[in-house]
Amino acid sequence: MRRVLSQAMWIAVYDLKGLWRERGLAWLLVAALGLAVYGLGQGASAQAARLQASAAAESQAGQALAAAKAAASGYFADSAAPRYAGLKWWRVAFDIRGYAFREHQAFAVKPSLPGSALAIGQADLLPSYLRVRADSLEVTNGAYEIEHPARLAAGRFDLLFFVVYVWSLVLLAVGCTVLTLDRELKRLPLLKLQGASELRLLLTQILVRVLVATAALVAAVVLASLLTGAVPATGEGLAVLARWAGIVLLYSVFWALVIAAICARAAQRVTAAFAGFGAWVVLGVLLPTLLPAALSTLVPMPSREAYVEALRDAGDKVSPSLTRIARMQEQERLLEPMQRRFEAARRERDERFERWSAFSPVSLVHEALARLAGNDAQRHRRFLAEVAAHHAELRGYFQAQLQEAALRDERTHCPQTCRDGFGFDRFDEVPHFRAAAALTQATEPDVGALLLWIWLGLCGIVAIARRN
Amino acid sequence: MSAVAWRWAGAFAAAWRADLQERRRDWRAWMVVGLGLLLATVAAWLTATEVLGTLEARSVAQDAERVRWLNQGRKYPHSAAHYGVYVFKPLSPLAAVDPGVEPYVGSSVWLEAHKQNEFVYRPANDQAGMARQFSLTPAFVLQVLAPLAIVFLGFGAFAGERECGMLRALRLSGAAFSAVAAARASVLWTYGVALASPACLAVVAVQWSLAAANPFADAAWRSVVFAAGYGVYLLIWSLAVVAVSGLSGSLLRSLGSLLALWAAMSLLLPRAAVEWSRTADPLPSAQVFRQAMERDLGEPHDPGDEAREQRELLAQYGVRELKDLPVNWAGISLQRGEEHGDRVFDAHYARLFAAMAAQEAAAARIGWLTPAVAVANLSAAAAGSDTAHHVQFVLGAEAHRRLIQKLMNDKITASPERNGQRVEGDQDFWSQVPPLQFRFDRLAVSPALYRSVASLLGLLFAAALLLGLSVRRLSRGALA
Repeated sequence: MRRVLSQAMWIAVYDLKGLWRERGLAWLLVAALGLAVYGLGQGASAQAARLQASAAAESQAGQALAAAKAAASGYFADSAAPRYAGLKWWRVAFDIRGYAFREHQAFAVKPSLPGSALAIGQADLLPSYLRVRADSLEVTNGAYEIEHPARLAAGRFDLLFFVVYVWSLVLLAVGCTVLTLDRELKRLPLLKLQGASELRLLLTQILVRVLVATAALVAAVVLASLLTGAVPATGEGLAVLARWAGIVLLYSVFWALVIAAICARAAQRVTAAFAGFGAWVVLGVLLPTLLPAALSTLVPMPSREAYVEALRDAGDKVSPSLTRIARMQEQERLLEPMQRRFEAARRERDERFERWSAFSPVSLVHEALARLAGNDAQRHRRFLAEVAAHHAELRGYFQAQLQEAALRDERTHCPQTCRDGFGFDRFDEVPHFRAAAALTQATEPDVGALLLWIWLGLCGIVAIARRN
Repeated sequence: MSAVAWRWAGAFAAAWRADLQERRRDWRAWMVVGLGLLLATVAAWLTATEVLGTLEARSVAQDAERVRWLNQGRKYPHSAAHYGVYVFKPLSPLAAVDPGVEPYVGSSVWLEAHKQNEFVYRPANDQAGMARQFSLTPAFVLQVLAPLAIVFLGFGAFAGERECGMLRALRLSGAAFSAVAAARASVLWTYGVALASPACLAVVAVQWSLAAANPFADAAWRSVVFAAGYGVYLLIWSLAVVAVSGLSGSLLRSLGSLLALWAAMSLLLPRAAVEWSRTADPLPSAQVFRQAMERDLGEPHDPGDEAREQRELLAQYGVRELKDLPVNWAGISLQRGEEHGDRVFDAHYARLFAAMAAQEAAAARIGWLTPAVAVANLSAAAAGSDTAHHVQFVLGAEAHRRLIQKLMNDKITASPERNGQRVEGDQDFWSQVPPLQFRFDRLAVSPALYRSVASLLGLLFAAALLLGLSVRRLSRGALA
């Protein structure tokens, strides 16, 4: 065993020395690390923009609350003052009707996670904060952040894109000369004469090349993340970086095995490059492209046009005699069957995606990295569910307050929106959104199937090498 | 035609036949083309099915909205203005090839009083996350995979012969290298164009099954621009691949250089372009945009202006009170409110759309570096699936909303309240609101067209120049 290890070490050392002499690969690695840091920068800048927008939203809500409190305190101190004579109830915060339907400003903000900069994922498509209004029918369905549609369509150049697509290409370039160059130069028999088996030569060289390159990538990204503050230098931040590094390492090993399988058979470097790139196209582009296409075909979502019609039908059926909030609640109740159809289709898509992505290692890693950053669709849906629950609570609160105020007004015949009628100053009682603890954590990345792929790859390479 | 030209044409034809014959015997060529065609067919089928389904759903929903509007019963016209209508964005048959930004913009909008609502229900929000990276559409096949197929088929065009030492033999045959290079590039182009055939069939199928009117007045011209754009794009790649192969010392270098070129041109630069364009004119966040708009919307009726206008109206009709006017102040007031809102919406949305256009123009500058950006812009513009066309529809829908509001408010204005009785509209009146018949502007006025055509032609010239250099190097004896 010691002999084998010592031999493997010498193979690795000589291979790395040989590579170092070839400056081209070193420059390729430097360029790749530059692109990785650029991708990280894009993720960090997108994250900063999201945080800024969320903070601005919260500040807007805070200012509106302070203004409402100040206006109420002024009004209730002297409601007979002339400046209040021509007030319209729907434009003042100290009238519960005005506050509930117009002046109340609150936002539900999705908590940011320490690894957000590591992948933009779906974060540019799915908003990180939502305005929650008592009289909105659809808080969660049609709220979007402003983003150029062409940018959404082109996809983002973030660290996730780099790792999943560019890094695998770099690994192919680094590894495709293993054994193939020896075969071309006809020196493989000489190497074998020194007691090194083809399998040992192949695996040692490829794994060492890939691991050294991956170590450089991880070091560059970790350093850049911590130095620029893209990932906070806290226990949580370091834990996220460690998990990120683990996923990248597994992904790199997977590609190392793909390259090894190709180099085990290819007689020339050009054949290895051709086959390697073909494998990259199939694994990296075709499978991940076919997966969502198959999902859309086999699990079609109900059309949004049908949803609009259901929404309108529900609106037509609601009795106009109901109060404003009750009308919306009734309309949503009538819309529930359609919502359930959407939910069922989405759930089935998610479940199938979970199952089927096991057949596409690239999709697995893509999803795992997006989840680690907290910018995946699943976490967003959890956020939407919490916002919907909060919205219902908020409406319930205002509905009760409005009914109570209407009764008070009837009882006391209050001519103005005084405290005994529609007057309102209990702003701190109004429910506000607090994200559940689960939302402050990332969805657990699942890379179990990738380990299976790695194991299968190893078996395949051993089988090929034995046949050779 | 001179004898030299005849000889050149003869060499071209012979080289073309020989190259095609050789590829027929090459299993790798069959594999690349077979796989490419299979993908192109699947992509064309998927998008054509989706576009047809969407068009049908929109047509049904639009008809239902019309029926709903006409049968809303007797009511005050302002209540009808709040009831509003939904309108749905039309799609062209070319969207079956290039859906462009369609999955990332809302498909419908509610037109109601006082508000320019945003488009809602983006299809992408219902998709799996992976679809964000690559979406299997004919445009993806043509823009990304077809050049890759050309690289796979053509990297050995001259490099293979150089490695086997066959270039000298080729020279001895007396055929002009320029004719051989042109023939090989044209064979590659033919293969590339073959991958476009399923996309053409998809367009024909959608056009054939289309029940709704084509939203283009210049559909034929757009199809020509669309086809020509892709033709030039594939030609650029074909020329570049043969040129690089001729300049490369070995097969490996040729393949390595071309794959690096493909990855940079098709994967990296298009994304880098849109990232870079963000700095051209940053967009506001939705919260900042809405807050600023709400602030400006404020109180639509300035009390001073309102009082002055009322005095003028009373003087005009020689009456002392509003209730004695032969017109209804409520209608005038509502229309004043609408016009105030219109000015605010116009100012804010104009700034937003101008920022988007500036970003597009900035991203298009990268089109001078990569044909993928240029052809993507041209393709989406011709298909009516780019941001500029979406903005056209947003503005068209908004104009329709304003027309509805004007009709409703005019009706109220023309009917003063008597004994507390407000005017009510009926089906006859509702039918005076025409359905939205939207048509996109002609492509000739699109700035994206000129930018993309200029970039594509510039890159075609550059590729031809590169091929010229490569041929010159070969002709001067750089054969080993």
